[in-house]
Amino acid sequence: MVVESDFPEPLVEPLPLHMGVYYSKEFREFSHEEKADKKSPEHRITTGPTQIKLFNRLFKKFFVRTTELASLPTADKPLQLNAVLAPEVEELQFTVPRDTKREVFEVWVKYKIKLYSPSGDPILDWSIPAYGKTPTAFMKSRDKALEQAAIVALRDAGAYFTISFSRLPKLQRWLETQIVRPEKTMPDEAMAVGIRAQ
Amino acid sequence: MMMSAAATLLLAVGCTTTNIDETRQGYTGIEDHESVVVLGRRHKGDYDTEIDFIQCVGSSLEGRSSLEVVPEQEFTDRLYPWFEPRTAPIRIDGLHNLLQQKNISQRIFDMGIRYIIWVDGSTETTSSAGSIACSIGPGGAGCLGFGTWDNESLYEAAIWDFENMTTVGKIKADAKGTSYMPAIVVPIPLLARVKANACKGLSDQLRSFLISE
Repeated sequence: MVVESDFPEPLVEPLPLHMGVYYSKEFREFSHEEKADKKSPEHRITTGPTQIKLFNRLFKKFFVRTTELASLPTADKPLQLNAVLAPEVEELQFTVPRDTKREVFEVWVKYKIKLYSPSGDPILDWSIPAYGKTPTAFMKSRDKALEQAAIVALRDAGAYFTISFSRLPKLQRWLETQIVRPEKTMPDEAMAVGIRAQ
Repeated sequence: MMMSAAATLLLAVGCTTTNIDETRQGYTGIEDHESVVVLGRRHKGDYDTEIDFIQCVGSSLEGRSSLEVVPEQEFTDRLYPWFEPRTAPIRIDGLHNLLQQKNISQRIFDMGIRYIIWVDGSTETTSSAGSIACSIGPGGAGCLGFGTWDNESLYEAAIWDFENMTTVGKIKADAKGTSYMPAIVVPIPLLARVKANACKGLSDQLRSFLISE
């Protein structure tokens, strides 16, 4: 079952940063499968393409400028931007009513967001746990119900990313090293994109 | 033919009792250019306020009056991610804090929202009894038996006045009903419209509450 959905743009003020974004092949093609046993049929959820949509929507509104990268930068080829974000799927689990005896389909997904310097050095990372559920409903197929639970979980991931970005102390400390304050004397162009002058 | 007509008539009949309680905490009233939004509480782990119930309340509120109701999905999408289960304000002071962000308060203002109505609750099957057995044989198929089950709907609506930043009232809707399913060759469902009656009762009371002062 391939999760398909669109997501709304987050209502946030963009940060004055130029952010690179890297999605690994594993992230782009992410799929979770549980092998069938005697009691239940095989389940497979593919979230890769839709989670790309989610994070693209988020990042494009979070930062004044984003650039999608084909690979992580390296020390011998550093990039002219503030940093690089690389989301990964740490874990995905789901339950169906047969597993829990409750009349709900549930999806848990945990993302790891990694922040790299323009030369590819790891700066910090943080986890985004997300949850979604949908009740069973008459005439709704199992796949459709599981897809809806996954969509709710992805929306929840977007919500968690939004609040974590403004509240995590280690992120706040890093942002303070990047965002130019208005009272400092800086060239106009550097002020516009928040890039610290060399 | 007569049995089919009788079954059709019985399908529309339910044994449901509904109680509505209103607590007023402030003045209401709504202008023509103002609108309301009905939202479901979904932050608790053991239940979610059903999406179809919220749609029912919103449609009923709008359909029988001049009230403009913004659909829940449209509101949560335009305010994403500030009214998701994880982020939605639980109390009116949480809304006040959220509105410190100018882009959020401006977006709600642009939508003309005057009242935010939070509905919290669910409809549950509280008990069931009886059994129905069906079989297929050379002479045909058929069922025999009798089943019954009780449904209970319990919802509470809290009305937030966005203009004055106060909770102006609460309305509770409590509906109970028993559904029956006799099976004589074919099962005949006699469904108590518990959730539908709770929706009608709640929306009628909300309409009266918002329009009067």
